[in-house]
Amino acid sequence: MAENANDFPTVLGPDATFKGELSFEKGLRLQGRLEGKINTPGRLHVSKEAKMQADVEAGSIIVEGDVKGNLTASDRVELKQSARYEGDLQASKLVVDEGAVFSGHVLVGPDAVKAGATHAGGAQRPAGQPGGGGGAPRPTPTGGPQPVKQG
Amino acid sequence: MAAPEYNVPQPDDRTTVVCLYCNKSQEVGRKAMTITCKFCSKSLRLEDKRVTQYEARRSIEICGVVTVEKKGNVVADVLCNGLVVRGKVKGNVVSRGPVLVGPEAEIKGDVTAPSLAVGAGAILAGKYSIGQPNEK
Repeated sequence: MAENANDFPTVLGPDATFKGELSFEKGLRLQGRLEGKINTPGRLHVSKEAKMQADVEAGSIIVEGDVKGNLTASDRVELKQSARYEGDLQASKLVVDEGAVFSGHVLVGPDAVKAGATHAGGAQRPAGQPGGGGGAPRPTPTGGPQPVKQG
Repeated sequence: MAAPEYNVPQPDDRTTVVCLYCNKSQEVGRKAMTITCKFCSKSLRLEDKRVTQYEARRSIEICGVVTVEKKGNVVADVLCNGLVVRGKVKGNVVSRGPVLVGPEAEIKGDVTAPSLAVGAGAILAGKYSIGQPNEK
């Protein structure tokens, strides 16, 4: 999928560090460091050189860099070849490229985000404290699948 | 005096397998279906497995690729060298090869694998450990 500058009107450059809560409408390309929380109906692109420790709720998330925290995407999460991700993930669709490294609890499916919201009380952890080991309640999605692109 | 003839298999007839339990590799005959690991003495099944219906077991442990077809429904822990899911799996999966989750397939359980491919509308729930050396 070709990307242009209009897809990501907001860019956090490679020498920028952001701490706090961030919300935006369309899209953000993260090239620097971010710590905190992101809330957007749009797209988040974490570039190769970026480091992020945050809880994210977004439309779709593309990860190429280092990410720690919980990701929730109403549409899809893409973990590219260079991605290093640690945390809990909820999305309707998941695309994992070969070479991506991730660990954490995963809830993927057409109804995963809705199901995750109802179970969020026990499953979600603060950013930087992803699910390691067992013990956390595992939400189970229900409902039928829908056709999307193969990862 | 003529030298005694030994029926030693040629290298072409041999293949290398990695033990599921001790991780050590050894050469075995290409046509072998089961062997005993010469390092840990555990029995290893070398063939691939295809599941086309409901199958509930304690575990499926195979040195080949496990394929769960669309009508397949596996309730078991799976230890294998590759997994293709087109149906349903309920149980923990540890795979030394890639795990492919087909469109509209379902895995409920923890997954440890070097790589993961997820198809359209697949349902996943569990703890995933992808691309890292096995912790277990």
